[in-house]
Amino acid sequence: MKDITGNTLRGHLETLVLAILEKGEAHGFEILRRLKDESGGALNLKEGSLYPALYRLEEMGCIIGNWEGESEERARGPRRRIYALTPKGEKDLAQRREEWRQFTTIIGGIVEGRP
Amino acid sequence: MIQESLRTHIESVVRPISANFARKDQMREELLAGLTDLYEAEIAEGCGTEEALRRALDGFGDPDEIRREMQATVPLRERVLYCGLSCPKWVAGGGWLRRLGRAVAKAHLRGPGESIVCHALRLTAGVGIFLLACLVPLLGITLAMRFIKHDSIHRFIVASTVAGGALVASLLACFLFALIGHGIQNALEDRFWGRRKGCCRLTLYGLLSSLAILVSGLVFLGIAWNVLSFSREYLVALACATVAVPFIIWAAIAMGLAEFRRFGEWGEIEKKDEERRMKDE
Repeated sequence: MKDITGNTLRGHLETLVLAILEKGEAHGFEILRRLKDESGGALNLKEGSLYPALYRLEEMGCIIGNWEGESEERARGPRRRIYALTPKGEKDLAQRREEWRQFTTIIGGIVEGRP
Repeated sequence: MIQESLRTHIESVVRPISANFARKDQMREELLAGLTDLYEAEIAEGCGTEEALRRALDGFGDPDEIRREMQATVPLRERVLYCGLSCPKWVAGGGWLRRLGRAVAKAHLRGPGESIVCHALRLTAGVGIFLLACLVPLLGITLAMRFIKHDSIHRFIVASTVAGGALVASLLACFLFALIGHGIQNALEDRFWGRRKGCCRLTLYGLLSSLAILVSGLVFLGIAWNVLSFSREYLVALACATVAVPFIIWAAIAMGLAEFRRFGEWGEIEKKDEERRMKDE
C-alpha cells in the first residue's frame, strides 16, 4: 500500500486525532503509533506535524492536555503530555463524521463515475 | 551527547517562535519527549545510536515547516507582544545579557513567595522613580520662570503643590492598578487559562501598565498646564510629549522585558537540567 503523507492529510488530521482519542487518552507518540497501526502502516506522518494539530484542538477546547504524573515520569528525560477528548470534542467529532460522510458520498460519487 | 543533539534540534524549532516563556517551555518539553520517544523506538528496533538519531530526526519532520505551524497556533496578541527584537547571535548568546535579563525579569515580575502587596509596592516605587525623573524638566522650567519673573512666587508654590499632588495621585493609581491587576489576572487564569498558568501574565500586565501610563500622562498634562500658565505656543508640543514620551518609554521597557526573557531561556533550561541531574544522582 502506498504511504499517505502529511500533504494528503491536510485538513483531516484534526478529525483523525479526535477519532483516535475517542478510544482513549494518549500522548503524541502514542497517537502517531495508533494512527499507523489502524491504517495498516499507510499513515506515515511526521511526528512534528502532529503537535500543531494538537495545540489547535486544545485551543478550540476539543481536547485537554495534562502532563504525565510523577509516577509515570521516565527515570530521565522530558515529560509527555497526555491528551483526552472533552465533551466539546465529542460533539465536534460527531459533526466532523457527518461532514465526512457527506463529503465521501458526494465527491466519491463523482470521482468514481456513479450515477 | 545524544540527548544534547535531540535538544538542539528541538531548540532550533522552538527558539525563533514568538510566544511567551510558559508556552515555549511547554512546546520544548513536549516536542523533546516526542523526539525522544522516536529515538528510543529506533533503538528498540535494533539501530545503532547514530543511525537511530538520523532516523528519529528524519521521522520528526522539517524544522522550518514545524516552526511555521507551531507559530500559527500562538494567539495574535501574544505573537505581537513577544515578536521580539532580532539580535545577533553573539549578543544573544552572551552570558552578560542572560544575567541582565534575569535581573530585569526578577526586578519586574513577582518573585517566589512575594506577597501581592509587596509586589505592588515594589512596582509603585519603580514607577515613582520614573515619574520623578519625568518631573525634573518641568520643575526646572518652573524654577527658571521664578527667576525670570520675580512676582511669580505664588505661581511656583501652586505649581509645586500641584506637581507633588499629581505625583502622589499617580503612585496611588499605580498601586491600585497593580492590586487590581493581580485580581483580574487570577480570575481570568482560573476561569479561562487555568491549565496554562502564567500564560497571560505579561500581556495583562502590559495592558495595565499602558493604562497606568495613560493616566500618568494625563496627570502630567495637568501639571504642565498649571506650571506653564497657558503658554499656548508650547502647550500642544508639551501635551504631546507629556503623553507620548512616557508611553513610548514604557512600551519599549515592556518589549525589552519580553526580549530579555527570551535571552534568559537557555539559562532556565540549563538550570532545569542541572536540577534533573542532581535528582537522578
